[in-house]
Amino acid sequence: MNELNNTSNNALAAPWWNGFENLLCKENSEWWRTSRWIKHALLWLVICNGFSVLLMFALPYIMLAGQGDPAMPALDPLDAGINLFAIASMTGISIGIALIAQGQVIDEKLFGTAEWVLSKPIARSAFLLAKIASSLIATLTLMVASPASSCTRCCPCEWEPPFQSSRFLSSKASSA
Amino acid sequence: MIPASQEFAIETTGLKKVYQRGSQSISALEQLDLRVPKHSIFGFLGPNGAGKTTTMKLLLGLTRPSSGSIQIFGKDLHQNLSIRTRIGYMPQSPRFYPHLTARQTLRFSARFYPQCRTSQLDKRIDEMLTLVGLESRADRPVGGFSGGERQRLGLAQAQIHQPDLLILDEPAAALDPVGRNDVLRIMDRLREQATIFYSTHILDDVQQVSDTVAILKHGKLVAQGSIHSLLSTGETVYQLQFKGPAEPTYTRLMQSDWVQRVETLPYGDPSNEHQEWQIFVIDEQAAQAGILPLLNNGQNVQLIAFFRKKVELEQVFLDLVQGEPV
Repeated sequence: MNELNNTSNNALAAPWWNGFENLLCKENSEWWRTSRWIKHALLWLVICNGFSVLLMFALPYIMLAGQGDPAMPALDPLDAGINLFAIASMTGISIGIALIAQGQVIDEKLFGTAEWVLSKPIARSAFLLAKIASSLIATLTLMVASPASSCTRCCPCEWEPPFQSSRFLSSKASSA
Repeated sequence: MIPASQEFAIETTGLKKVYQRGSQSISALEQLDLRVPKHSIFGFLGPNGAGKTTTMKLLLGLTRPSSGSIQIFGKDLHQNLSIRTRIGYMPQSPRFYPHLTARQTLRFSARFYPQCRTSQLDKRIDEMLTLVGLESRADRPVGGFSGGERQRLGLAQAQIHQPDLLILDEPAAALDPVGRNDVLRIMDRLREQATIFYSTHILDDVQQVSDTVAILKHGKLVAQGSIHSLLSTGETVYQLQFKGPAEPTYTRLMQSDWVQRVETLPYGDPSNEHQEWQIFVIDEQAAQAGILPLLNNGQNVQLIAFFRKKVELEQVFLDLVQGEPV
């Protein structure tokens, strides 16, 4: 298998961005051309904000249960909710992008379009990066920006809402 | 003086491809030395699994050779991605993004080529759609296209940037006879502008349009050359139909020193004295001069048909692939 090794590093010399712009336009259109993004937005809104609300609801009871325990840190339910939202979003994005991009590459390979596209004067890195970049844009928008904007509408910092869920829940918890 | 490599659109030297399947290594291509002259229509033939598609993928840089080198227009393929701007490729059973229309697919394809980034692109797209007969389907999603229409679109996208080299993998495979004829006509028209390297199983097509042919068998090149030279490598055979007594004619033929043997074909009707023979000759010139006078001298021999049997590419291909001498 020496012959295999001799040429295994023989890559087509090309700048990594060759064809990236065209591929990114096409990948972006894949995300936004149908109503799929609305389904994604609703799904992630429910998942991300649902967990945050769940935590904000549960945390006061957890704190009550741990009252008097010096190991139990003092937590603000709103801060904890935001932290959880950030962690969940970042973890979700990283895993989501890897899975989505990998799935797209496999689909294209099986369908036969990868062979066609890669026969063009493009760099393989551009082919992969376009998928990663479009997935990043889509997931940032759908998993972070969309749930976060709806969350800040519910819990604004400067503006006093008619009903502030976290403070309501905290007061309920303390009265209990 | 022009270096030899500049006379060829494609030149491979000792090209080899070995696939690794666990501990087993499978040789798909062995020491392939191809020379594809510029502006030729080069038919690349071989039975299934001979290594044709592997060769095409190697020529496009889609897969890496285990050893050997590939020169496209005198430049090393693996050192110059820009070479691909001069190549148009149509895969076997081409697949495109189903939601894009034919026009969008051509635009998407064209945007990869610097030479297509002009205000003339829309005009060029229209020209290509008309050329392949898809103008009425230009704005329909490709997902609803039949195999033949995808094939036509594949041909259009391969030429959208006016490449110097077209690599076509089975370009007429999914087409009806009219579509096949259209493709052959387009290929013939492109001869002046580009070199066409294509694989096919339809040997009749190869004989119609190709000027150079290579035959691959089990990853090895068994023949390469002009179609004329390939077809003239066989024996010279004359076919003869006549009415009359067989025995004296046969004796006279066998007495001639330029006749190797005479075979009787099963289509004749001996009871009606209708004979159909094949005459295998050793010396073609002597046969040309002597065969007709010899037959005319025969008593009661009525000549119905007499012609030199053409060697068909199919026969040459079968002989080479099945390992028999041509």
